[in-house]
Amino acid sequence: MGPFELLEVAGSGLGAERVRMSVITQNIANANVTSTPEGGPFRRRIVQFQTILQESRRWANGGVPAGGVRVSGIRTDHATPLRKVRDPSHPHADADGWVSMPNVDLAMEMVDLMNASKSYEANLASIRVYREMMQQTMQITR
Amino acid sequence: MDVAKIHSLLEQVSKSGTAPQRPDPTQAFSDLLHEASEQQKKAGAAAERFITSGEGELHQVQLQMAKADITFRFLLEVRNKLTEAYQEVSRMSV
Repeated sequence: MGPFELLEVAGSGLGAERVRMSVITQNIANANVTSTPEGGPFRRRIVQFQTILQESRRWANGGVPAGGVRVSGIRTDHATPLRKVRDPSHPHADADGWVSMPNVDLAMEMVDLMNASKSYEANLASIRVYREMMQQTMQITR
Repeated sequence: MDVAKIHSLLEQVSKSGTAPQRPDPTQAFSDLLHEASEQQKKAGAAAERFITSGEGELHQVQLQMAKADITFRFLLEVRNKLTEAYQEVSRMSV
């Protein structure tokens, strides 16, 4: 394991959380959008993470199986039903006067946002602790 | 820079004062110097790219700087130890 591998791993976590935050921000920004290029109202997007684990770094090979994280995909939430609002004057209303609003729940998005932000901070904390450890290790020879 | 190299350097450093038993300590020190310089260059380039063209991400730039910082601090420790050893020897009464 290289001396900076831990920094790389924590860095990948920072990157992944940043992507998650930007997707949540996108959800919040589009919470009331009824028209999208794909047609229909905006649908909530969810980020999926995946571990990057390198075979060469298994315990058996004398290595530390340090694996970073990467964003494996951003999927669209089709499971949560769209909100229906009655507004016959709305240009995107259906024949009965119902408008489909995005399936974004602001309360949920805020919780996710806090979660992403705290996870980001946790990654920063591991970087800080690692740096402190390295610097203290260098004091051994003093 | 791999850990083995650091270990061998640390070993030499802890033995400073006596003649280093490794084949070529100057080479190891010069390698370390080179590595520190490379890391600094990379950090500088990453920062410049980020500022001028917005390429890369802030945390990547910062991490590269952290790497450069750690490598340089290590280099400094080694250098201090070498100088100390030299002074120790030069003070020796003949």
